[in-house]
Amino acid sequence: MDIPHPIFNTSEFFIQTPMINELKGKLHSWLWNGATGGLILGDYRIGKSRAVRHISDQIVNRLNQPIIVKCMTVKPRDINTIRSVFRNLCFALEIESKARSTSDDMANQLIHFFGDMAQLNDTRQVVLMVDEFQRLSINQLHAFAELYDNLSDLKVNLTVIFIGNFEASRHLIEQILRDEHELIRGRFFTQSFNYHGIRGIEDLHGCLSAYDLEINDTVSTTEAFLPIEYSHGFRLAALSSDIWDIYDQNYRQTLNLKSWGMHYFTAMMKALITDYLPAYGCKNEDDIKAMIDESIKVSGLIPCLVRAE
Amino acid sequence: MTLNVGLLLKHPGESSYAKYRRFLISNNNISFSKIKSELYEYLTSEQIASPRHNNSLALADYAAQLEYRFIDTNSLEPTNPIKVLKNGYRPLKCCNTCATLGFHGDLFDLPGLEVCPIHEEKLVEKCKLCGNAWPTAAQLPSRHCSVCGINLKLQDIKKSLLIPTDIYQKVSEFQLFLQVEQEKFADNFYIMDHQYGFKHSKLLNDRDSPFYGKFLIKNYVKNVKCKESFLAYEIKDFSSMKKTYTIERVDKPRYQTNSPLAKEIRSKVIHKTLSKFHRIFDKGGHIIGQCDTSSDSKIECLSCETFKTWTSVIINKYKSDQDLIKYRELRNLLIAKTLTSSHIHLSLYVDEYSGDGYYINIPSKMSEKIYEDELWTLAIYLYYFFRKVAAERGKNSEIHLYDFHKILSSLPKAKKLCPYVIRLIGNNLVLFSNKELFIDEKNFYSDIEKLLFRGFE
Repeated sequence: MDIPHPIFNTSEFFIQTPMINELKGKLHSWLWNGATGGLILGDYRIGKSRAVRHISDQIVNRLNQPIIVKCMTVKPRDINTIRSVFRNLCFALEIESKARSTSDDMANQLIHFFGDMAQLNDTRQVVLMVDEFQRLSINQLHAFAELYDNLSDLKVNLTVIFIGNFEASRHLIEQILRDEHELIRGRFFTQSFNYHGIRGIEDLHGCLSAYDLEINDTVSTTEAFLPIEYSHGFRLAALSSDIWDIYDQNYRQTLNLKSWGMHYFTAMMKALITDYLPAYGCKNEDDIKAMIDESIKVSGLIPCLVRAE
Repeated sequence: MTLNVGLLLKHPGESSYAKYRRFLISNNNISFSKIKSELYEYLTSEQIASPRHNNSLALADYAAQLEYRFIDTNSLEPTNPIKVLKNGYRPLKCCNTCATLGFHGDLFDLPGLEVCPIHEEKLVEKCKLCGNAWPTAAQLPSRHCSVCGINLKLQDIKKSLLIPTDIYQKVSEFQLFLQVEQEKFADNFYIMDHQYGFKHSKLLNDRDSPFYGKFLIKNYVKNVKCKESFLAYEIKDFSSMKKTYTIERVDKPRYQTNSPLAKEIRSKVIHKTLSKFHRIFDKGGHIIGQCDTSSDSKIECLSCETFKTWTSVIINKYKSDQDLIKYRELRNLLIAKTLTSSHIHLSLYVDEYSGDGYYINIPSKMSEKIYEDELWTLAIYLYYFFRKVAAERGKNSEIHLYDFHKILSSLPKAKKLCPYVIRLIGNNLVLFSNKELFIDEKNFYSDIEKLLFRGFE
């Protein structure tokens, strides 16, 4: 049985975008300048989590030594305790703990875990990414402060990066900004970065180019679905202007969108490249524009926005 | 499941024991059965020979392999304990502060080393908190003591970082030096009993001898020219002398117990030892041998009892038929336990690391040292024997013949003092020896007892 192209596996398909490179650069600037934490905010479905997980094995220190990045996703729970954060973290890191383990026990285990990881570079750095930050309570943030403090005493530099949805995090951020939470704010929230989807034609061109590139000696996505056209010089990046014009006029301005979420963009591209273009060809410019418009509709962008309104 | 490897607590110069302990400390929150099953799973995945279940040595080995895999995958500097962990091993002595910080070095077991070079704290045989002997590798998982077990406190671990890493580096360098230095004295020198041959051979260059340990420390301090105090205080009162003798190989010697030379040496050494005897064993401020110990085998004065028995055994002079049987029996048992004979050894059997053994003659000065060492070993063991009898049965109870056998059997073999280190270079025998036989004359008796019977009770 033939292995299906990764584009059909939504959770696996991934393209390198300019926004990811920007995020990577930002993370490096934080880590290379001794930041102890940071906050990455963005709208839903723009690809924050995927981007973070993608770059997690590419982070290095100034000496070009790898920095281990571990990720956890905060789960919605009835009880928002510090212990539940430690347990959640143990679970995410595949660290076994006893059923009756106390916070101290788990913190101890986690400290040794991060201690091991920090050996991998001479700057003794390790990064923890906490996704769905908005699900945490202000009290639970003290769990990370405890880990940070203990590791800091052991000369291990833990950097905690929180990732959250802009709107949903607003309440928590307001709490953090209060004076009584200076301890938390000073440790983790002095740096922030707004992650965004496609905001302009340059971003779009960068994303489309990723479809045209060979990855790991395998044919590019464009070549896989449009082999003849590809051999005749067709590249998806060449459709940047058309796609942007349609998105800009029909959707962005009309619906006042700040950026195009990667989830909807990849869904649009999947429809375009796997269904429409192979079926109807890419010679007629009007047909292509019609196909682009239809693909955007199929991607779910409009129903999503309707719900949001 | 992820097992921690415990690198947070690693230090240069750590032993395999410390390595295994920090692995257990770092996984203290996981049940030991889960740790075991996870290690076995790793073992199976690596297709190593059949697992030796529930063997602590095997578990320590697998934990080390787990760490090695982590280190190898991540291109880290390997950790390098000097010696492999032995089954049933427990640290003979350790520094309490080091234990609190999860550290143990092989050098702590070096005989003669009394103070931790890192904290300058006395090396002791028991944990200060729980009062138990340092745990074996097998006992570690169930030892929940914050000093010697696996429940290390975070605030204590933090303290370990206050110690400059270069001191651990020095520990490591010293251990490497020991390895190299020990090879220089790797030849085995035996003194042979003419009756029993190899069965009763005694190995000189005894690595358990405090002299040997002090000698190595001295060489280190001298060779490395330690400007700082690292280990220098250990040799403050230690002085050894070096003498080189030219020797020749001889055929298997015939023992001439009554040769004029042997008689002369024997007489000289016994006289010398007798004159010192009083100084060592006089606990009551009286003249040794003046107490009446003849009345029905009762122990009334330990020192005098030891003195008289010792004299009887080495000089073979017994007072009555009953004494003859008793002392002959005692003598045989003592010789077996202390490897002391009445012979003067004028030759040694050399068993080189590579190749067959051969005999060499030795200078009479060296024969004297060996014999003197034997006599003291016997005397101290004898004293200990009577002390045990008195403790078990009371001073005034009678000791029957069978008691000797029973009590002696319960005592382990005595270690020798071995106040010398020998090296053979070509035809030159280099003898490093202690001028006064005993290291610290001020604490003469307690020192000897400790050296001979460490861990005895």
